[in-house]
Order: sequence, then C-alpha cells, then structure tokens
Amino acid sequence: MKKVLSFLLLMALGILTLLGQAREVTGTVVSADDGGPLPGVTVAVKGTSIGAISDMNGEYQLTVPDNAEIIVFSFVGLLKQEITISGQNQVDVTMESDLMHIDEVVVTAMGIRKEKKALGYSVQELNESQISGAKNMDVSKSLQGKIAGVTVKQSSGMPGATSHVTIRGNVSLTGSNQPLYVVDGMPIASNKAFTENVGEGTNPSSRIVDLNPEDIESISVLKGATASALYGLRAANGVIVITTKSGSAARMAGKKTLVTVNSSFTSDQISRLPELQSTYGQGNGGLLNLWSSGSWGPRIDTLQNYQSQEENLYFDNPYETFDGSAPTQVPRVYNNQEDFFQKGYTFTNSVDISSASDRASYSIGAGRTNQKGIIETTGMTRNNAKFNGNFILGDKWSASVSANVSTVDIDKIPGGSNLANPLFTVYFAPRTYDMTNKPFEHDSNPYNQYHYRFAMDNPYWALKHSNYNEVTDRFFGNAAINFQPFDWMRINYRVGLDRFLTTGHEVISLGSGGAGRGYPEFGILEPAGGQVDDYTYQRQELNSNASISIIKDFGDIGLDMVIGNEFYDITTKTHSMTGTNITIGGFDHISNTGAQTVFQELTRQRVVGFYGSATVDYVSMLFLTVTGRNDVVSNMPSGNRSYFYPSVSLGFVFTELDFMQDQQILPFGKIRASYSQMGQAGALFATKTLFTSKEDSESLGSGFLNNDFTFPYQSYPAFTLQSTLLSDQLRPQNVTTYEIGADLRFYQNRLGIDYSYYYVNATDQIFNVPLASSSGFRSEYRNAGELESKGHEVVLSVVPIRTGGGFEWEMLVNFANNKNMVLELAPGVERVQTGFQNFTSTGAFAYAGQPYPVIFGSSYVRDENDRIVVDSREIVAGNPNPFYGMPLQDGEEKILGKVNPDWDASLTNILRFKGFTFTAQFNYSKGGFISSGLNALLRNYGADQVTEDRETLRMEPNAVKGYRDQATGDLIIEGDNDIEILMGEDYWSTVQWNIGESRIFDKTLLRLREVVISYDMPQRWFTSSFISSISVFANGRNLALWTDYPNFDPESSTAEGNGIGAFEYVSLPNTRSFGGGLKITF
Amino acid sequence: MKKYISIFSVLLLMLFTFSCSDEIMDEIDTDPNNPTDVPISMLMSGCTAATPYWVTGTTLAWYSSIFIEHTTGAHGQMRDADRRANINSQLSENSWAFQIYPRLHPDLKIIIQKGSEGGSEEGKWIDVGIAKVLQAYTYLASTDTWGRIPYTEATLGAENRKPVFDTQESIYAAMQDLLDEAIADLQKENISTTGGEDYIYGGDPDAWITAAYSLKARYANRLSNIDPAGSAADALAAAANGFVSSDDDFTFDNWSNDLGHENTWFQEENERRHHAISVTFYDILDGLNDPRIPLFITQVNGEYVPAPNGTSEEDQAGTIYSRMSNNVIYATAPLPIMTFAELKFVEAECHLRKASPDAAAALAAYEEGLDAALAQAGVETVDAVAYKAQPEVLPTDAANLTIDMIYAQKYIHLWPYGSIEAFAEWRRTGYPTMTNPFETPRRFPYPQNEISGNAENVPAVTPYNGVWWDDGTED
Repeated sequence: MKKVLSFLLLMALGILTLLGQAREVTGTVVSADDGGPLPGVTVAVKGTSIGAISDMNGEYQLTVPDNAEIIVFSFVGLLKQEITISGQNQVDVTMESDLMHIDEVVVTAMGIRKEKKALGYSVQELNESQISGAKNMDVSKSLQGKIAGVTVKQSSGMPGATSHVTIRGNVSLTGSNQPLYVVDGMPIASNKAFTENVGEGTNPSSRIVDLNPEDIESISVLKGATASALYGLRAANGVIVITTKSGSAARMAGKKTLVTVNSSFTSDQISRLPELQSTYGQGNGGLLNLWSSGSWGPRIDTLQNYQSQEENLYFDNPYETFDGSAPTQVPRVYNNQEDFFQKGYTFTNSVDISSASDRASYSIGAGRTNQKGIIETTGMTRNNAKFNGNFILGDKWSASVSANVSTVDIDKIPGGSNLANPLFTVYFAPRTYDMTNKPFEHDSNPYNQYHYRFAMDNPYWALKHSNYNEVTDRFFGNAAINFQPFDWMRINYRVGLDRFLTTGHEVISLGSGGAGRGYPEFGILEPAGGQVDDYTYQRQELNSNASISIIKDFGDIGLDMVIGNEFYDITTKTHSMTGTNITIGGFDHISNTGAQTVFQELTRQRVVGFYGSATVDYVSMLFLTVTGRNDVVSNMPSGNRSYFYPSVSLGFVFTELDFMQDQQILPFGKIRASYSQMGQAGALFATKTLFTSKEDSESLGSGFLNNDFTFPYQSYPAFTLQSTLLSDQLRPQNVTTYEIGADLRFYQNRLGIDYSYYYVNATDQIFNVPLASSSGFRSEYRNAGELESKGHEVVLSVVPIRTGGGFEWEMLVNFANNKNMVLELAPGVERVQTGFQNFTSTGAFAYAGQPYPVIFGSSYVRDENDRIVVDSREIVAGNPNPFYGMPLQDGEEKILGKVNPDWDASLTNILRFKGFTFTAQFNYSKGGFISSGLNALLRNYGADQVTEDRETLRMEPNAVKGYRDQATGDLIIEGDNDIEILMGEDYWSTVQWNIGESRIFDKTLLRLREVVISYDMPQRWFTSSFISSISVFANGRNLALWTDYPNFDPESSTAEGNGIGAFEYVSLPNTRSFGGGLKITF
Repeated sequence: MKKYISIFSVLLLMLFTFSCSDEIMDEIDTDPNNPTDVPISMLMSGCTAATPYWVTGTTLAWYSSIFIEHTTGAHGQMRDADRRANINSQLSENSWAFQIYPRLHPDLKIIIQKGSEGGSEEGKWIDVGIAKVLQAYTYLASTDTWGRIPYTEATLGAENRKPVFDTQESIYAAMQDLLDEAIADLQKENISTTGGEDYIYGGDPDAWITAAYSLKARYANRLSNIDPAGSAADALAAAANGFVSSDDDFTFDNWSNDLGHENTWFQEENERRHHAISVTFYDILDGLNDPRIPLFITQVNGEYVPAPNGTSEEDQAGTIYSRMSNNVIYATAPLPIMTFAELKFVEAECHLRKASPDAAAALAAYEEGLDAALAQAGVETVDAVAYKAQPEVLPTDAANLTIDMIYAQKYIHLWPYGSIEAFAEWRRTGYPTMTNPFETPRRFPYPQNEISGNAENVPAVTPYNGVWWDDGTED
C-alpha cells in the first residue's frame, strides 16, 4: 500500500516538470440558434491534450504549441467544429445544434472513448439525472428498468441489502453471473465479498453500495462479451463502466469553480403487508393454546378473556390466572405485522466542487447518507469523499488521478431461514397474540423473554438485545499518466488500488433461542447461551494497465488501435472468532464467552493479460474492429494457464451511402454484427483435493440442529478429506457470443430504434458435478455442460410532442426478452442446484434441457389432463383417512416452474416544460415463478386470509379423485372430485405445506418504479446573488404495484447468488418511498 | 521519442516474464488454508465424534424413534413422519449423502491405510483397529437402515463413480471378518499411543476389543430368522469376550455445555421439540408398573399424557403431551452406541434359541441385563426390588422366562438413544405391536443424491419392503 502511494506521488511530481513552447489564441464561441455566447465549450488543439473552456461570455484563451494546426470546438449536443489555424491569434466560431447525436461519444472497454456510430456491438448509457434522479442509495438499483437486457434483482428494501445484477441472462451455471464494474478506468470489487463463512445469517452487502450515486457523471453498460472482450476472463458477464464527475460541471457552466450542493430526504415504508384472517385465534385443532405458533384455535367470538403470556404461570386453565386475578388478554385480532414496521427515512447531503481551467479540471466531492430502516435498529450511514482530476502537464504529457474513500456502517438483521430472523414470528404471529403491547421480557431478568414460540426469539426482544453490525472502510482509486509522442500515438500507464476492510460484530444475546431461554414458567430460571461473532474481511486488488494507442487517418481509411498489458493481483483475508455461551448479558465481548472458535481463510489470485484491438474505418461508413486478449491465470492448473480469446465486429453506417444522403426520413442508420470468444476461470485453489479443517463449514452438523459440533474440541483439532473431487485437468469455460443489431434514427431523431439480437453459447462449464455420495465424494469439480442465452433487445425513443413553446414529451421504452437454456449438464446428470436452499422443500436448479434456472420440488399428483388428484380413500388400513378429499403428494419431485420472466419492459415518460421536468418509469415483467416460503408459512400457521373459511364444506376445485395403489404404485382415478371437505389445519398445514408446488407463484408484475418531478428555477431570480442555479424536486420509488402474487412483494428474495428470485423464505421486506430535495449551485 | 517507446517495451516484457511464470503462479495457487496431508490423530478426533453423532445420534435416530413408537411426532417433520406424510428420499439425504459416505467413510479408510503396512504411519495398530470397529459398526447400522448398500466398490472416488450395491448378506459376513481383523490389530504391537483424540475410549485397546466382540454378538443375533441356532451360537461365542459390566459400555460421553457440543437429543428437544412420549411405549411401562416412568417421562397438569402415534395434535410447546424428562435428555447425557445391558439381553435370547436351550443361563443373563438397565436409568434399589418382584418382569422359575419379556426389557432399555437398534429389533422380532394406524416403514428410502448419481445400481424397493434378515425376501 505504502509503496504504491509513493510511486503515484513520484510519478505525479515527475510529470509536472515537463512543459513546452507555446503561443496564445483567443476568440468567442456563439450559438447558431440565437447568436448568444456559449459557455463551457471545450477548445482543444487537435492531437494533443491541450485545451481550454469558453467562459460565461463565450470567450476563451488557449495556449497553443508553435506546430499546432487544427483547433477543435466541442460541446455536448452541438456539432463538433474543426478549424485550421494558419498563424492567426483570433478564432471565432458559431456552433450548431446536433439534433441527431450522431457524433455522440461513448465510453467503451478500457475507457476508450469511441463515437457510438463506430461500434459493432451494443452499448447503452445513462446520464447523471437518470442515475441519481430518484435518489436510490445503491447505484445498481438505479439501473433497474433503465437498460434493456440488464436485470437487477434486489433482495429487500433493507439498508444495505444485496442486489444482483445480470446482463443478458446467465452464462455460468454455478459461478458468478454478475458484471464487472469499472470506475474511472479501473475495475473495482462490486459483489458480495463473502458469504456463508462468516457472520450469523445476516446478508453481507454488495460492495457497489460503497459508491455514492451523486458522484457519478455517467454509466456505460457494455452488454455483450464483444463489448467487454478487452477486459478478458473477468468480463464475460459484461461490464458496467462508471465515470465520476471530473470538473465538467464547471466546464459546462463556463465557470472556473462551481459548487453544487445536493440535499434530499426520503421517507420509506413497507411496500406491502399480508392480508390475514380475523376469525380464528391462537391454538391448534380448534383449541386455545397459548404456546402454539398456529392460528388454528377456536373462533375468536367464542372466547372470553384469557391469560396473557406473562400471567400464564401454569396450564391448567387459560381462563384463570395463578393468583386468581382476572385474565387480561382480550380475545381479538392484533395488527402485529403493521405495528412492527416503522417509517424509515433516508437523508442525503453532498457537496461537489468542480473546477476547470485550460491546465486542469477536477472535482472534489463529499457526501453523507443517513438511512433508518423500516425495522427499528436497522440503518445505514455512508460517508464518501472523492477526488477526480485531470492535469495537462505539457503539450505531450498529461495525468489523471481518481480517488474515492468511503465508510459504510450498516445495522441489519438476519433474514431467511435463520431462527434469529425477527420477522419469522412477526409475520406468523397467532392472530390473537398481542405482541406489540405486552412485555417481551421479564422484569426480574431482561434476558428471560416472553414469547409464544419456544425455539424462536420474541422479535422485540431480539431487536433490543441482539445486534448485527457491518462496517466497511474502503479506498479505491487510480493514477494515470499519458504521454503523446506524436499526435497519432498515445502511451498510457494506469495503476489502481481497491482496498477495503469489512469488520463485523454480531451478537446473539444471552437467552436467545430454545436452548438459551430461561423458562421461569417451567422452573428453568437462568437464561443461557448467546453468541458473539467478530470478523474481519479484507480484500485488496492491485491493477496495472499499460497501453499504446494509435489513431491515424490514411486518406479514406482510418486506423484506431491499441495494444496493452493488464495485470491484477487480488488477495483476501478473512478472520473470525466466535464465542458461545455469554456469561454477563449485555457485555458483548469475546472475553465474556464460555468457548471460542476461530476461523481463518486466505486467498490470492493473479491474472496477467495482453490485449490488442484495431478498428479500421472506411469513410466513416464501414467500421471493422478486431480484438484479441491472452490471459495467464494463477488459479488454473499448472502448465495450462494461458488462454487466448478473439473478437471481431463490424458496423456499417448505410446512411453514408451516396443515395441515402440528403433525405430527411432516415438521416442515420447503422447495422452491426459481432462475434467473440471469452473465457471464465474456475474457483480458487480448485485443482487438487486437500484435507480441510472441521473448524467451521466442515464441522459436524445435522439438518435439524442450529449449531455445529465444532473443532478443535477438548484441544484436539479435526481434519477431513474434502468431499469435492478436484482435478488438474480444468479448462476455462468458453463463452461464444454472436450479436447483430441496428441503430435507426428517423425524423430529426424524433424516433430512434436500437435493436439487438444476441446468441451466447457457454460450453465447458466449470461446476460441482454431483456424484453419488457412495463414491466417497459429493461432487466433482470439472468441466461439463453447456448453457445458452439468447434474446432480443429494443430501445425505443420517441418524442411525440415538441412544441416551439418549450414543451416536450419524450418516451423511452426498453424491451428485452431472454431465453436462457441449459442444453446439457454432465453425462447422467439431470440437475444441479444453483442456489442455496435450506428449510424449504423446493430449490433452484439448473436442469438439462430446461430454462435456467428452474424451481424443482415435490408436486401434486395430477391426472393426464393435469388436474389435481384428491385422495378418494375414506378408510386407510381400517382407520378414517384424515386426508380424505385432499390433494395427493407425488412421490417424485418435479420441475415446478422457471424462475426468470419471459420478458421485461419499461416505459419512461419524460415531460419537460420551461424549468419543469416530470419523469415516470413503469416496469412490467411477464412470467417467471418464485417459491414463496412466506406464503407457505402464512398458510401453514393459519394466519393467511385464504385459511379463513374453515367451516364450509367445499370441494377441491378442478380436481379428480383417486389414489395410488401402495402395492403396485399405479394411480387409480375414480372420476371427478365430488368430495366435500373442510379446508382447515390438516388441509393447509399437513397436505398443502408438504407439497412444494403449493408455494409456487407467478411473479408477473407491473410497477410504477420511479417518479421524479423537478423544477429548475429561472436564472433571473437570482442573477444578483452568488447562486447560479437552484432546482427542487420531489420523487417516489415503488409507488404502485399491480400483481396477482399474494400478500408480499414479489421482488423480495432470500438472496443467494444465482438462486436469487427463485425462492424466498421469510425474506426481508421491500419499501415504498416518497421524498424530495434540492440542488443548489454557486 | 524512440527511447521512451523502447523503455516502455522493456517494462512490458519484464512484467510478462516476472509476473506470470508457472513457478510464481504455482506459488500463488497454493492453498494456505488446507494441507495436502494430515496425520492420523487429526482424522481420529473427527471420526470418533462423527460416528456417534451421524450414525447413532441424529437424523436416523429421530425418525427411527417415531417409527418404533418410542416417541410420537408432535411437531414439524416428526409429526409428518408419524403420519407418513414425508416418507421420501429427504429422510436419508443428510445422513447418507452429506455425512456417512462422503465424510466419515473416506476418513476411516485413510486412517486404516496410513496405519497399516506400507502406510505413512505404519504400526499405529490401535488407530487401525479403532477405525475398523467404527467402519464395521457404520456399515452394519447402514445396511440395517437401508438394506443393500455400496461397500466393496464404495469410496473409490474417481476410480468408481457408480459403486454397485452389495447384498446385506455379504456385508454382514464382511463386517464380522472386519471386526475380527480389528480385534487382531488392537492386539498388535503399537508404535505410539492414542489418547484424547479418541473421544470414546481414550485410546484404550482393551476397551475397543470388548466393544468389537459385543458388536459381533449383536449383529450375529440379528440373523435369528436366517439361522436360529447358528446365530445364537455365534452371538454367545462373541459375547463371552464382550462387556463385563456397564463400565465397559460403548458410549460417547464427551458432550459439554458449549453451544453445539451438547447431547444431540438435548439440542433437538431445545430447538425443535419434535418428540412427545408415545402411547405404545408408555403402555408397556405402565403395564409393568415400571419405576422408570417418573424418571423418563414428564407430566402435564399432574398426569402422564402420552401421545397417540399417527393421530397426535400439534404440540411443540409440550402443553398437551408428556415429554422426555430432563433426567434422560440433558446437555451432557451420555449417548450409548451399545451397552452391557443390551449384550446381556442378547445373551439371554440366544440361550433360549441355541441348539440346546438353557433357560437357567438365559434367566441369569436376563436378570443381569435388567439390573444394569435399571441402574443406568437411575432406579432406586428399593424400587428395582419391587419391580423385579413381579413375575411378569422377572420370573422366579427360569421356565417362565418368555422371549417377549426379553424383547420388552430391551425395547425399554433402548429408549430413547438406541432407537435405530430398536427399529431393527422390531423388524426382526415383531416386538412391540405397533399402534400407529399407518403402516410402519421397514427401512429408510434411499437418498435422492444416490438415486440421481447412481440410478443403475440403486435397488428398486419401497420403504415398506423388508431387508434380508427381516423377511429374507432380499439377499
């Protein structure tokens, strides 16, 4: 770290001494539209990095080397002008609007800026207001619905919650399918840094949350492997290129220094609460039971006052208390769910100082975000500071520095199947159980809790006593020098560092869980147990990138090429210590625990890549690009580490053909095609089967028990042979991509269509191929299988109305469908699990010949017409059949539905009038299924509204009756279902609960995702003050939802990599937000 | 200008040669977390904890307890099992596909290889002997649970990804031989001592020898339906060298109060609370005025309320039904794998069944077993004397000793920790009569992992088909 910093410093100092000979050119830039002065226009000497900016009066001064020939004037939205100077010192220009955006420049791989029209593949961009307009805390969430083919799945609306981004489906069966993020030219870590090895069931954040969205100027999404080919192995899932603010704001405003202050406030609430039955109280089998988790008790209207938990000292009679006083619990339903969630809020403030001169431009930013979650005790505080500057050091030398520092402090709660998840007993609280108003702990000892449920904590008690905190301190940045020996050649060296340290402190309080609770009711007085978990995770990534680029015209032929070397080294260190059995409640220190275990994991990886790219264009009409990259990868087998990947793409701007020119209907049209090959490496240390310590993940365990039998035990360590068979024959998986597309702009750009079709074939998948365990191994890590992803993407922009009075209505439509298929796994292997599964009978699987992924699990027995078969046997083995007339469960597990939607579309309407801008974004997602643990549990416990009708004899609809012969296994159908049954506890908690198919729901939804109304106050209001602009805005996120999915938000998921969106089990809730704020510049 | 370019090129070349040579990359790719080899002692600790934990004390035991009506499922998966709503491949997934085959057997095999001739720790015969006893016990308990299982071709890794399933008959024969080998190994000259990493007997070879003989007796006796007299003779011969008192019991007695290290049934009772007392079990005790009732069973509102198998109410809280008492289920409660008392019941039965039955020897063995069982349960002497005074518990005349008395006392003695043994014994003897209205499974289903990965070899059987020694329909 120290070495790197001093190297950067030396480099920067060395460059400052190199300056050259020059003279001065001045002039004024005016607009062709109204003749007024144009501030912020970039004036540059062609082929050098020398430049200046026009000021508020459109005037500029430029120091020009003696040998300079051409000055280039450029400004976003205006047509670029090139003026040849032949000795004159005064150059005035008039600039015209570029309605077509034909010269639009986009950022491509390795930060190379290219005219969009030269690209043979699809790149889509987002600007500042699209990114930060709705004030999403997490950059990845602000991509949602804005880029065709980009899918953002969020786990929940909790502060710092993980999100999962994929571009054009999945190419890796069990590896990461998330894109690479590149900030200011250097890759940074963006995914969840660690998973199951540390922590106590809380979900670590995706590290993209460290970025402050307010710092971002633009995002460019390189969708296909061709677009990202230069980045090599780690970019097979696409690349998201982020450019932070760098002084351009000052440049645009024509000011030397511009200060921008952004302030906003958002109020968050839970997006959806379940609809519950209100007729039946706590208990089972129609009987009141104050210790039951179910709402299968008696009708509430038949109950009299009964004991509440703190009075219930013995069981003889719930209607009497121990001391003879009147029972206080009033029999009625309680709004435990609604009461539990509070209003959250988010408060963000940021300042950006932007400065630009002819020698330097830079931006210094600082931001703070305070978020309070909708569950008490949850929240996030983020502090950011950044610097991004460009310095011109002479006519041949320039340098840039980008540095970001952040601290993100998150207080969270465990979700999912963790028994400490407080929502478990909130969502399913018995309807007559008063959780909100009754005490949750004993007066005599706060570590003795009151709760109806034995193994689980009272949620209010858990929030008070247990806590889960994660703090990440991060620095990432890079420094680059540019040397331009000739006006056609540029040499660049960039070195970057991304380093963060996450420290976690998680406490499960003394008295937590079934084993730890004291039950004074049963004579067990002393609470016990508890756990303190302290961990650190450190990751460091060093990137080095050297390149030479050449841009030269040879008459009609233009050449643009680059060759370079990239090198990166990633090291991680995980340390955790877990202490169990807390002695003094509330003293959450490891020294206060009875037994400790430690965990350590170190990793290291290095990749060295050589790359080259060449674009040849013919009269700016035909563009051919060829790239190649060779990677040498440490974590592949010795002697077989080097891999080469090529790509080729072609763009043809057919409107440049003679007969197409000078027509108004289609002023711009391009067709494009590309092909690429790309690799993906496997896991670290995966070429040799080793012995592993049973200290953590390999310790003894059981599917039933919460805690593992850990080692070392009684001072003896234990090791075991890894249960995955590894081999030194691994090859990287190979991803082949084909893409064709067209970019058409009609009628002065009032209508634009960008269409792409892609086909991705990923072979030689590296994954844990399951083995029969009797072989001694559960799986074998090797190459096998083939995955395919194909789809259409349409980006449509329409301006239906544009009036002279300044009113404009713009519509943006993104449409994408993606068909992701598992063509083959390994011989004899039908399916592989892709996502974590626990406590659920259904899981996310890659299944040969099926869409990726599918949900697989137990199903209903169905007849040949796909109708559910109900059990027709009134008597079984001489006894009444309790499940008579209820659906039969199929002994074999089946595919229950595909996870990903058929297609996604978004519609964004933008209305502009004078200073007002109104933006509304709708998302529609069609199809796709989820296995809903929340809904299954809500029914299992008899709380769901669908369980309300328990006393009417009803028939299972659309069913036939029959049974499976136990001897032969044959299905006997006895005709249409005419059996009337009561749909009560047996029906919901035993029959439906055990059939995985009963919890599968369609996720189709229409959502009003974002609304932003902003008003830029007229400049004339404050011409006499130091303020240069003020804009105010109001915004909302997730304002409305239309879906058939019951009770909960279909976008909440128990987040685990590729399984996200496939199932959830007591996932944390999503939020709906309203807010507003203002932005002042001066 | 050229100077800069050549410097740049040289730098680039240096980066190439120094940063990605195979030697450097090999070093970077060396896993700092996991060793390539470990000594026997580091495997033994895991194996002597894992065998009782995975084979005797968790999933298989809990489901067996429901099947054998030691307990009644009053909540969750166990209530579903009681009502046969979940008798599917999930039942076996943890024990077979995560624990016994991919984790326990490979480690036991490596211990044997390392300590035997030509191994890296050749001469550690005590460890070899221990590993063989654990291996034999695990395979025998497994074949009792599932029927045919892979043995001869099992745990060969890349050499055989689809092992054949061996017949139960061949596994029984092979395991008797393996126990003999273990007994021989444990008597060989040993190069170093084994200590606390053996959590069961602390490395005492003599204790392991008696355990091996006792296991030989138990599993010889299992073949009573196949060869009544021969099995009795084999069992008695082995039992002669088996446990001599309860102090010799083959027991895991190393639990502690630390989270995760508590007795597995204690953890289950605290965290899940799936089990209530079964009517079947209670009625047998009650019919004999058994003094163990107050020691074993809790009361609800001052009464014993056992739960009916197959038709219980949901009762996780334990407010409806009686549950296992904390005299039996507590954090450091020993987990017996095989006891002296059980061995005596085996002997008693064999004395009655052998070619020339000896009722007096049977009665003597039976009483020894009964005394040991009552003492282990903590029955006061005065209560034990009163209990034994009942002729249906202990006949005064050896001629009145019935086989069902032996079965009954063994069934009670195996409660609750010996449920997998009790489940096997019911299938062999038909004792006790089940009261669950649903049919009782006669084996566990094969796990999905094996069905998916080794379909061609997995036998086509249902959980209601008997294994070889049960009804002889399968070899």
